Amino acid sequence: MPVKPKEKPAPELTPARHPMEKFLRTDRIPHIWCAGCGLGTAVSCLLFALDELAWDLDSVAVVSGIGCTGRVAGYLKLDSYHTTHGRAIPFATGLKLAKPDLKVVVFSGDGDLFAIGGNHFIHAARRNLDMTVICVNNFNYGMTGGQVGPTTPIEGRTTTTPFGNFEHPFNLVYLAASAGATYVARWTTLHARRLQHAIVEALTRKGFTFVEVISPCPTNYGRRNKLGEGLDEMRYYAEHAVIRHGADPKEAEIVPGEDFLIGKFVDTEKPTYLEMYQAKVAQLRGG
Amino acid sequence: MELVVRIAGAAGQGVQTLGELLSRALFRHGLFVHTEMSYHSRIRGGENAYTIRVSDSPVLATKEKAHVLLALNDEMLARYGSLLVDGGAVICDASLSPSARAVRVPARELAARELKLPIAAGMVLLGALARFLGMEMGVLRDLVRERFGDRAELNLRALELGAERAPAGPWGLPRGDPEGRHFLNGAQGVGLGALAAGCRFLASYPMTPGTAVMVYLAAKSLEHGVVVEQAEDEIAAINMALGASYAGARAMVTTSGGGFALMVEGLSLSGMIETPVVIHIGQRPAPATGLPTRTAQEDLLFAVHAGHGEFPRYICAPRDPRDAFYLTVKAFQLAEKYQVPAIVLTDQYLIDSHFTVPEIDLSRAEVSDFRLSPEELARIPEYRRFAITPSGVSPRAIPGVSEKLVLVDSDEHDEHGRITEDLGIRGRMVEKRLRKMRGLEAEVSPPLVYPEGGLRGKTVLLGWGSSFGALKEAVDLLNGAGGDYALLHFSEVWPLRTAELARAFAEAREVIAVEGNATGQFARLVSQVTGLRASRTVGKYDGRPFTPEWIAEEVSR
Ligand code: SF4
Repeated sequence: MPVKPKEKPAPELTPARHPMEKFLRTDRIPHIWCAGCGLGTAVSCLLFALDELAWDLDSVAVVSGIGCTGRVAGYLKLDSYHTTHGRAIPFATGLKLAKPDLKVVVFSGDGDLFAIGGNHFIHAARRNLDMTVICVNNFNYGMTGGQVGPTTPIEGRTTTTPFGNFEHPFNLVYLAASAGATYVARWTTLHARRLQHAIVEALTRKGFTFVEVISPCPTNYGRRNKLGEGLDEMRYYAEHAVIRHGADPKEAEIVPGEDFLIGKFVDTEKPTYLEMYQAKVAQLRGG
Repeated sequence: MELVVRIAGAAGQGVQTLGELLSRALFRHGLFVHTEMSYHSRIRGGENAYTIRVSDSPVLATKEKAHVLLALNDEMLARYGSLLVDGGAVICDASLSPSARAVRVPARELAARELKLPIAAGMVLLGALARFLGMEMGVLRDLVRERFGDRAELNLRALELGAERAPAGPWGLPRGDPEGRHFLNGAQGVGLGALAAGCRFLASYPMTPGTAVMVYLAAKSLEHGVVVEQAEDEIAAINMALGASYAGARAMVTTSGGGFALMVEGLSLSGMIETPVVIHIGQRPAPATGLPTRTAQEDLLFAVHAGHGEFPRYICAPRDPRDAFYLTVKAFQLAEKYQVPAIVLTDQYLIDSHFTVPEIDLSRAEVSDFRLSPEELARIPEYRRFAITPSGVSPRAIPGVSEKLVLVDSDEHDEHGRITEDLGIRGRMVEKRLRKMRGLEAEVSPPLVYPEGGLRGKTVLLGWGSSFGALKEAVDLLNGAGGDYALLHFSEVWPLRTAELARAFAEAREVIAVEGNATGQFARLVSQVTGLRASRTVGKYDGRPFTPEWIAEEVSR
């Protein structure tokens, strides 16, 4: 697929300034992430997406959990909330229901969203709550030193699977689709513009939208599994990521050394939680 | 002879590796070594400091001021340069310009030019430090070989490059014999204790600092036949452990305060179904996520009171890694004997710190099987899992070994384990469960008094858990300055032994509680159980471990 030419001129890049600096709490920079980590790219994609949408920033709130990805909320010049581990989605749910006009984005990691927070994820998707969940999937717990996670591939080496993982991992695309998400996409940090575009779509669709970002963690997962530096992982994505929009989510499994699917898997519409709620209220009031 | 060496740098600069190499080398020199690790909750950047205290006599606490600082960057030089003793020295890269006496080595340049490995700059500086300390390079070289295997050559070269460029400092390190001693951290103490106690199952979820025990047991799992399962959260973890325990396996979980908060439902279940489980809690500052990589003693009252309803439990708080070994064994033993949850309460300081301790005596690690054997079960005509007994302890059979059923129920149940709403049985069951507390009370060892002897007229410092070493040294400092102080220290905190407390409060001039929290939790527990009140509490809640000097100063304030 040819990359759509940008209308806007490319922002000027100087080492000291981030092109999306207006969205960043520059007093909190430098960030804590390792060289070669995909988190910076993932955050930038969100910021470029917000820039593209040109929304009033007071209308956006970012909620994140605990972990390397959980630190995202703290760097954004947006109303943000760094919850306890796993609880980003229920907090965001309360936030959204109390302030339905707010655009609520949950930005967190695979362990936070799908292990300790897994139950909350499926129920928010089932309710079709209006929120966008961006999950940076780096296949392990980076912050606590690289433990096995719900997405660690079979044979993956981590500090808690020193002999190789033998548990089946989640296919997050399939999980989100079957739990009821109305928009499901997966990109890697190599596909920055497409990722940005997917985030724009996810933010503008109604209902529960989900974007998975495959991302390198060279320090923990990469080192233990001999995947090389962050750049090597990008090469790996270039060689193995196959864009196939509309593919069956079931086929989106990730197996090391084999090609894996990226793209937009689900893009549908159904009544959201708030719409259902309002319909119920109207019905009871005899409206 | 005493020497404090500190290695400080950003996360990712290898502070921990350098610290571990140096401290283990000093241990192999036959010295008493104590380490303390202070780090930011992040994988890159921030600050990491590894403080190594060395002596020719036992040391059990860390110190604030160092004699020698190996600074890996400018920030650490500024941050820790002020924490040098008068006349202290700095080892650093030639590009840094410390104000203190310094050995500057062009480590970055050497690493880049000679070794083509910039990260090896730290190893070059370590070589310089070792020479400066007058260490025997052979010991360090052996350790580098053990640690790096086929990548050792480059690191050995790095050591050499540094050593060649440093003068020998004024420290003639004495040589001793490490025979009969261990160099252990708290995580290893708890992990080894679990293995010695016959732990067969661990389920847990990552949470600093408790995870260190899971990582340790995961590495040993094949060799020792332990199932290590990383659960999806702590709620699952403790219920997995209870399932395994019901099946007869000795089971444990390891976590920190926040994870334990999620386990509380399961803790209460353990109390109700009288199924043993050992819970290791590595405390860290809270509320909520708090300071993930720092230390605290904030979860004592939480551990004592957690869980809805009333049921007995055992709680120990080890003083050092060797103590952690014995008390973890004891926790398993009492959990099995009384069919209760047993909690091992450590903290980040103890978990991450290496101590030089006398060799562990395995014959002191008592492990007995309290389960009904299939033969014993066969002899019982009508098996009742929750038979009401004078001790409150019912015979515990393992399911699946005979046609006799092993029923457990989280609802109130009768002696067979069948759900009941018979309020007469309810009353008897409550009493039966609580009777186990009497047996537990008799199992708890007395607190330690230092210096040995009476407490009449003394100012008694009251403490518990990993603060022991610092408190003991603080008492020495205070007495050395003409004071009349003693220490009363608990490593088993629940059930609370009251006899020694009553005597201490009667004899002492004053009792001052010293704790790693802001509200004097142990003092409050003592007062709740005995009505005795400490005259004041000295609390440390800044996330840093106790030092003897800090305690001595605060106490004499
Ligand atoms: S540990 Fe992994 S996920 Fe965390 S900042 Fe480093 S590279 Fe990124």
